[in-house]
Amino acid sequence: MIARLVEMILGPLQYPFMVRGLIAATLVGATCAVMGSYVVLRGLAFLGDALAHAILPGVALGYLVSGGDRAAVFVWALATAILTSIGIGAISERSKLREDTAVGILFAGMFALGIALMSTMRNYAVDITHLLFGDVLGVSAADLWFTAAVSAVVIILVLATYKELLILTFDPLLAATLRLPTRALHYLLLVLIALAVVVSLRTVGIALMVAMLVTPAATASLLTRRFGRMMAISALLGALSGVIGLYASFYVRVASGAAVVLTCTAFFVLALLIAPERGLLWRHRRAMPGEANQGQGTTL
Amino acid sequence: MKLPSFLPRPVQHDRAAPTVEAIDLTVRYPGHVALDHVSFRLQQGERWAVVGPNGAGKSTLLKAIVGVIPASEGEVRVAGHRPGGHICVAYVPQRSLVDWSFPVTAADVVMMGRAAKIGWLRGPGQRDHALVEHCLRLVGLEHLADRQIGELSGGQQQRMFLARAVAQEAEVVLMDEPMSGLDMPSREAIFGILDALRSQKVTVVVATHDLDEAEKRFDGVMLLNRRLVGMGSSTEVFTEELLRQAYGGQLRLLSDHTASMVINNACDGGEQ
Repeated sequence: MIARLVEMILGPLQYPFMVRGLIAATLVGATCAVMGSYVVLRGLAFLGDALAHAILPGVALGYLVSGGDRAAVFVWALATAILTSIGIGAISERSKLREDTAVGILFAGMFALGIALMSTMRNYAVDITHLLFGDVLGVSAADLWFTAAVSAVVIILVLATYKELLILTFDPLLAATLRLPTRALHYLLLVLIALAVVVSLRTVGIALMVAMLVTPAATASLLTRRFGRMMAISALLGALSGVIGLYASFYVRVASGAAVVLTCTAFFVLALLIAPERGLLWRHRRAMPGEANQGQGTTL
Repeated sequence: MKLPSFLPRPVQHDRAAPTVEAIDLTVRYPGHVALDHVSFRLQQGERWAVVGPNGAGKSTLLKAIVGVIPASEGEVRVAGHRPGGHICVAYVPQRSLVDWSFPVTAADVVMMGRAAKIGWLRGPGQRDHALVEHCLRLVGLEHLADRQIGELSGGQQQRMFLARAVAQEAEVVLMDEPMSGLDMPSREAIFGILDALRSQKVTVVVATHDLDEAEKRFDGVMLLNRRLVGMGSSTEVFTEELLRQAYGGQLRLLSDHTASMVINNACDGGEQ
């Protein structure tokens, strides 16, 4: 029985594409989930989704210009993501429209431009599918290096500005009164989210990206009441979902990106049910007569 | 580590200047004037109440003093300099504007007040942890340091923010409607802390709806309705004429004694 389990886990590792996919999914899951903690707490889910969609024209141009060279496409995606995040930041500062309306117009327009550009290409159907839904098993060694490098940059910058970003997220007014450079920090946050979006492009694709940003962090927020722990648990769940999802996709033969996201979602539902203090089952048990006073005395 | 030069540095205080000074301070939002040529001086250690109807610009005034809303005309000076250069002005937000489900503890929030003193690329040191503990003890929350902030009562939440102001080493503390929704014992606890701040020469400005409290618990009152209608001791300011100027039709006098006046806008709703 145990031998069979070990066999099931080790078996897929004989395929190099599976090993590369697993490493990529782990890195991406963790990086996205770390940035996701800010996305969830600041209510930026829509903005993250918009960022993911808005990088498509950059990717398409990269394809057209380089004839499909992976490294070039990645650099184009990176540049577009950074520019778009700064553009979105500027919109939210100056727009006369409501911010979500302005962002909606920008991202749908950019996405349409990307599809228009892609549709001029010969392998349009195949390529657009990979971009939309991910192609983690097609990750090359070079892709992996890019992913690792960008993930490292994101994590290092988050650690370096940890207390400042926390203050900006919890209480922007305090950040201003402490004379922290709030605008620069806000843009840094947007750029970091954009970087996380770019690295996850190949794993889950544009359409499901927002799940990698939001779901593990939301799950973690149900399990802890400390920001640092939330970030760590979120990263762990993101990485774990990547691995479990990939194995599931290997054995059940479903699309890898979808499998990863479904695993994230399953973790969330589980936490929603059984999270201590806040889970639905917990509340149900608490509400039962005779056990009303058994909780640890937290009042909300 | 030294601050990189492009970051603002805290300015030196001019001890001869008033602690807070507004000179023709005017703040305009698109479509309306929030503050209209307001001028005043506050000295070290004084405790002032800011009263006025909803929309009178009380929150705007506090935010202009702390320097997060720019003056359209005129200026604010804190210890002789523009507020943007100071990290010694603390702002305690309205409780209704805080995300109480945020995953931080009381001690975490108090530690946030240390951020500017700690500096970039560093975590809090032993001294910071000791100071946070001291501040929590000062406000009587040492036993709740590890509680998530949503688990604190309203009064405890206000005291936590006062502890953060102390941790920030604030010399001016601005509070926006801190007493709204609090019971008497909680209010007393907060005034006890404000007394302790006074002995440290901290200047305190509190926006409030409660004229009775403003009369009894403060050194002076600023009566605001976009412009500064009156400023001084409560006997000077709480006259029928000035109150009528500030509150207009919202004012109903039950007797000629100020303490029994009823202001027809008891709601504690926010304003911008």
